[in-house]
Amino acid sequence: MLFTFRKKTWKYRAETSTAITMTFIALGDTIVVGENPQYSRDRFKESSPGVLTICIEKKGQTVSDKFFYGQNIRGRPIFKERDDINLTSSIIDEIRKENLRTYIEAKEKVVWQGVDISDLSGEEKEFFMKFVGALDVGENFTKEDLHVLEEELYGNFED
Amino acid sequence: MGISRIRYNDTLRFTKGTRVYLDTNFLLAIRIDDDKLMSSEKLTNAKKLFKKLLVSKAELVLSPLVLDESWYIHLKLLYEKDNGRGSWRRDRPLKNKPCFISAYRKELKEFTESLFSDPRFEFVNVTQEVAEKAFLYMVENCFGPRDSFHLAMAIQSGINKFVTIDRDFKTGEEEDIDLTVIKYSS
Repeated sequence: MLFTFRKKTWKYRAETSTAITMTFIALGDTIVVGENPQYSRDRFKESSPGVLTICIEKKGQTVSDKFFYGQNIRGRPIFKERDDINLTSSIIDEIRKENLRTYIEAKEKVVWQGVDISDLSGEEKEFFMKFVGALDVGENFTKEDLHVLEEELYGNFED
Repeated sequence: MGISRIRYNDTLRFTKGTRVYLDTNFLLAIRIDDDKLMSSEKLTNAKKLFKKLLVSKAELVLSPLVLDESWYIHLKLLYEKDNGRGSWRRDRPLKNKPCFISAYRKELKEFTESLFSDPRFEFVNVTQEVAEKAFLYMVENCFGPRDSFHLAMAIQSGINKFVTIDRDFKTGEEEDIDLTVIKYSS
């Protein structure tokens, strides 16, 4: 499984410009996110093993205004609404874009420039993605030109 | 004592705080966007090795020489990207229109500041002692002038890990050198 904080309480709070505050609590295989952790804990402790479930409540909205973000047993993200949820697409988009993004990226497999960096910390991941592969050599450079580049890299600095 | 060589492999591990001198070619191999070069095992291995260094909290050591060489290659690649293959040699912009560099200020600044501002990177200085050591490596151990300087800066700074893709980088039983060269070329 991708999440490693199983069997201990793990809290995370994030406040964003959209004024959504989330608290994550790990309960076995279940992570519940909500303004009311106690309610969420009771409600979602029956989640299926191997499934990461997140419930998000938006400030000022009723309990029914929820949706789930989940991961199946292979770690593939699933994103679905419950039947009894009345969410507008704009809210889903908002939370997808603004709130869950960092969390999802931290837990999903992240591959950058052919390297799996999922196990890096958030800060390391950010640094890696900013620094590695930042030099775009454009269309003129193809793998057939590697030997030319190597020649330069080996110290052929004449000009 | 001497210079030993190990090749990159996925099981390679570093202890926390290991100080590793990064050769210019390594620094550039991780900087190059190899989106079109995904089949390049060498470039990908360089990036994997860089990740290992990050994970192990290694101290990444650079020198003014590495910075100088990196700027040069950045300029060459960026110039050829904009002006076509072979334009660097044809136009000789450093001699004929040196102010072309200002067109790449943004890219160079971003690269340089990322090295200066990040605590993972450490710069070592060239001192007279380093130069004297480099001279000895050059005349007594048959290293080229540049390699002598890289080596001297690393050794003088107490570093015993040196990352390079330079397949010509010499190894041997030098008495006063204790260095492991990590190569990630095949």
